[in-house]
Amino acid sequence: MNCSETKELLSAFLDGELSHELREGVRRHAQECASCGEELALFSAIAVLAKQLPHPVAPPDIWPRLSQELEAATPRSRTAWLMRDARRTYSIVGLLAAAVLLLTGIMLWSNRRMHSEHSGEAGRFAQFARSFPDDPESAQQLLLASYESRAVGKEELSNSAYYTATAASQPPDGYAFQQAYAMKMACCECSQVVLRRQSGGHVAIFEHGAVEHPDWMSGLRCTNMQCGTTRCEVAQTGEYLAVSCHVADRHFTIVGANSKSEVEALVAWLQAAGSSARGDKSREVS
Amino acid sequence: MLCADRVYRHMVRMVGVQHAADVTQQVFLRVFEKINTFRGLARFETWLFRLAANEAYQYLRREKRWKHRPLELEPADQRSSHTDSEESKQLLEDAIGQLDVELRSIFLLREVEGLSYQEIAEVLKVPEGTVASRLNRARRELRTLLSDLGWELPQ
Repeated sequence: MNCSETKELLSAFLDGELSHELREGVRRHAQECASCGEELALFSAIAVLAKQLPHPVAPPDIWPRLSQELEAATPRSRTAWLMRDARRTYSIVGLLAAAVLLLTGIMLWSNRRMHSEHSGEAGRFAQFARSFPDDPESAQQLLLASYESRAVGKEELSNSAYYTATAASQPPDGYAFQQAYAMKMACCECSQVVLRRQSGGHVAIFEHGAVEHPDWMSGLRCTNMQCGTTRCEVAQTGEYLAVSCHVADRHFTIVGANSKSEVEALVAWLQAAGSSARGDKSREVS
Repeated sequence: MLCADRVYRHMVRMVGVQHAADVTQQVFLRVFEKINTFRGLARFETWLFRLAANEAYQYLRREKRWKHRPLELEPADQRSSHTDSEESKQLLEDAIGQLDVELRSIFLLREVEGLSYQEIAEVLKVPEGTVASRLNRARRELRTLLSDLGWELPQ
């Protein structure tokens, strides 16, 4: 791939909109070519900055003002007709409230992702889950920029992050510990461990606090899968899988699994780690 | 996040904070007028942003205000260690405000609203290839504008 071809594809590369083959072509070229590499770094830095922009909220008087506008509309207009008819029974504000609820309902029905995929944690997570397997470094950089977060050492992962601490100090067979992070999310404080697969590629395991069911996966199309005694939600992200499951009193999200059998093996590892933790505790009590 | 907030924040950066509430209100008037044309085949989000994009273009054409005063962020806490980052965000707000309106719209739909290329193509009724090439142009122009404003790539 040459410079002009690569430059054409830089945005699509950054946004995870390329096929695996083209991604690899762009990545190889950008690593070797200073000009394309620099442009990609700039695009990426702008993307990181854009993710940090504040989200101004609509002023509270917007609905009462809209109600006045609707009342003032000409009787010929469909809206005014609707309003006049409705006034027999309901107040305009009540109708507007109903309309807002209806619109919210349509959004949820139209696509369950509406509330969260692109704006909240689920949006960030969906983007992370799609881009992490192919480009873990950029995906991780974007995720960390979205939260108050820091890289932590193995020893810093405290008892509150038992599983990630175990994954860091005694990784599952076939994996090597790469890095651990702590991040403050809306749902809870969460720890993350990135493992390097000995056969190539990376897997990220997030351990959420005592949260019932974080909203992380709602931006992805999920199906259910049974792994031993654990019910998992699984989503296809490109050629990889993202998984959400509850083991003991903790919630986990796994990103970058390359097959169902890898999902089963990692969930089994979590279950075993949990049993071992409970065993340790019961021994302490006795 | 409520859909009104998403439309409003899009408008803050499309038409400027002074006019964002008025144009958002116009968008929802259109929503009530046209809700019977919404077909469940499209996502509501895509349909809503199409109305919002049209309303922003119409407003800008009518007012001949292709550029606007950018959103001014709250002054950063002087004790904060993130002052550089606050300055960078303000520079990006300034640069977005100076961006060509078509490029501004596509950049915001991608980077702030997180829409996919397919969704942006549906919103703006352009082919996906056009979305990719416009995003390249938007990012290159932003790079130039940011550089003119004195922005330095974080190390």
